[in-house]
Amino acid sequence: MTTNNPGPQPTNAYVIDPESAAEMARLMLQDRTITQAMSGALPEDTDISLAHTILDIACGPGGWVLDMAAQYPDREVVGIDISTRMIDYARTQAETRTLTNATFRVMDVTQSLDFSDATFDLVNARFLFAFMSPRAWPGLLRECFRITRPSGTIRLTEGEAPLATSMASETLYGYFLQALQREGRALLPAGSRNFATSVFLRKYLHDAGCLDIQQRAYILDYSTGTPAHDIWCQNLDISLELMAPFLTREKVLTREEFDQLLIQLKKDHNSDDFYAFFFFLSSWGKKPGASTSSIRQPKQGSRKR
Amino acid sequence: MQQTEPRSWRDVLRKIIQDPKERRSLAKALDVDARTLDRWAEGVSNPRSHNLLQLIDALPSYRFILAKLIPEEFPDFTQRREASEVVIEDTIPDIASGLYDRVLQDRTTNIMSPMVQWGICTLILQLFVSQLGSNRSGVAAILAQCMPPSAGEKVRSLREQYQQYGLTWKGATRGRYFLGAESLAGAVVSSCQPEVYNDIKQEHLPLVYQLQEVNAIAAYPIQQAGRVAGCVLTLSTEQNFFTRLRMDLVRKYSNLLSLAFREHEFFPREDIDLQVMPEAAVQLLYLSTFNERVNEELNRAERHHSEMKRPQAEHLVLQQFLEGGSDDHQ
Repeated sequence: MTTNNPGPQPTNAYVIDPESAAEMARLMLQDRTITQAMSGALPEDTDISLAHTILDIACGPGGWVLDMAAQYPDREVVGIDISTRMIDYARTQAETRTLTNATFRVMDVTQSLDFSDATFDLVNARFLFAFMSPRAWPGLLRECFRITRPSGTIRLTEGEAPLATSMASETLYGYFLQALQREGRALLPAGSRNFATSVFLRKYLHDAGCLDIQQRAYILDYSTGTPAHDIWCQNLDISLELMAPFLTREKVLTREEFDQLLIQLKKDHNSDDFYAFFFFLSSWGKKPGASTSSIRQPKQGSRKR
Repeated sequence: MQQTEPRSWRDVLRKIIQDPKERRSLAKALDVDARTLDRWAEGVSNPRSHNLLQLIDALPSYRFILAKLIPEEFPDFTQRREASEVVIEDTIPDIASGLYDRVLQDRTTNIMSPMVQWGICTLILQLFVSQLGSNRSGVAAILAQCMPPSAGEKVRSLREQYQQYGLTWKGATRGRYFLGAESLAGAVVSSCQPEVYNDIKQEHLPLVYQLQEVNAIAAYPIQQAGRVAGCVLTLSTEQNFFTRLRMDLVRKYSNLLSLAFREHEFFPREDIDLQVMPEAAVQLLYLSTFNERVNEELNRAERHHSEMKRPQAEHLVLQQFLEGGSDDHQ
């Protein structure tokens, strides 16, 4: 695997201001839409019976944590995020919904995680690509492996750029990928047109030491007339608008060019013959149990403890 | 599958608390240990009379069966309830302080752009339905906003701009209808006084809500210094849902929402003169082609080399519809 690495590589830099109410509201709607598209917070065939302590990484305003806590009131569900405001709001929601089994902590997931070894039965992470650089993934997975109990599960979910009958959509996400490449945060070299994060999930889990790795693909159809159309188009419109400072900062396009493309995208979204998919993938693997005779040693890295 | 009729109120309780989530929630509502519920269900101990009243109020779906079965074991219970005339309400926590902090943070540090407004309104309504719907009732909230009038004109209509549905809402969702003089929202905006109906099927309200599951509705104006920006409609699938405490919560959330609106979005009462809006079926037909009409306006502006943003095009198309500029009203 080669990566384009022209300059400084920040290990944690969200592309949208995480402090804004609009981003919090958008993430809550996105969380709920994705969870509905996946038919629940966990895949239907996940054995939850042995998962008593659960962690969500980069939880944002806590949508997944709160859904899990509400669905499984006898489990302890923890969410961590680098943003104090996101965590504050997640706690506000837990308080409002009287979910006493949901807790939240401020934590930088690109550094050592402040948990003891073998703390969690299930470690979950959804859509980290917005801030994770390629070199940060192996370290994060090693930490996930460390804090997962033997026979516990690590589950990752990542998506790709939308596939849509809209040149404005193709162009805008192309600029987004270009901006990531300029910051050295893209997995594939310049000129590629995919995020490709989902392709690497199996490798990350394998290199961390996980066994029995499984995958499940999902497609969210947000074509005109589908149930997800209005809410997902709104999600994309808002996320792109919030992403504008990042794109113009990286000088992949001017603010005027961006505005024109967004106007066209909204027209396309509201067209009768608009067709689009959002593809995303879940990969999960198990940490070998204590009694497993052939425990494969995970790849070692130079991550600080 | 044959259902066995419960023989006692303890059978009903036993069945309910088989679900750990229900057990935990019910214990909290009654302010007792969950094991106390187990002992009641198994007949090991008896609840006090106020616990029985609380049990009935905490389980609205089982209200009638419990009211029938409890007196069979506790004959005195019936007499006490008839004599007391005191309705025991669940306590409802106040709005979490974190939400006030979140809203004020955005209000004081950002220009109130459409994006910021969207974020604040969405967050408030999300928490609102979460909190109101925490007793397992289906709850939804709709924010209807005054449509800005043309220069020199009065406000003629409202539009449903934001909608949030609680996790337990099992009914259909709805489009963004226009509401006018014929609607509850219109009445509340015109009078700047809240209204509540706890059994709408008995009230024969001329509503446009098209939601069969709704049994109770409350409307509260969004006001600031005697001017009004719209109103919040709160819908519930449960009859008699809007108790005094819940209406107090509705009031607080409505007042909080007023912080999300800009000064020019509030109108004095004398500038509100709502028309009667077309029926829902007519609106639905028009709204189904709304986006295409907006696109046409944008394309027309582009061909004439004049700048037009989407909100402007939407306003133009809406004005055409409301002023009968198309033949869709027929």
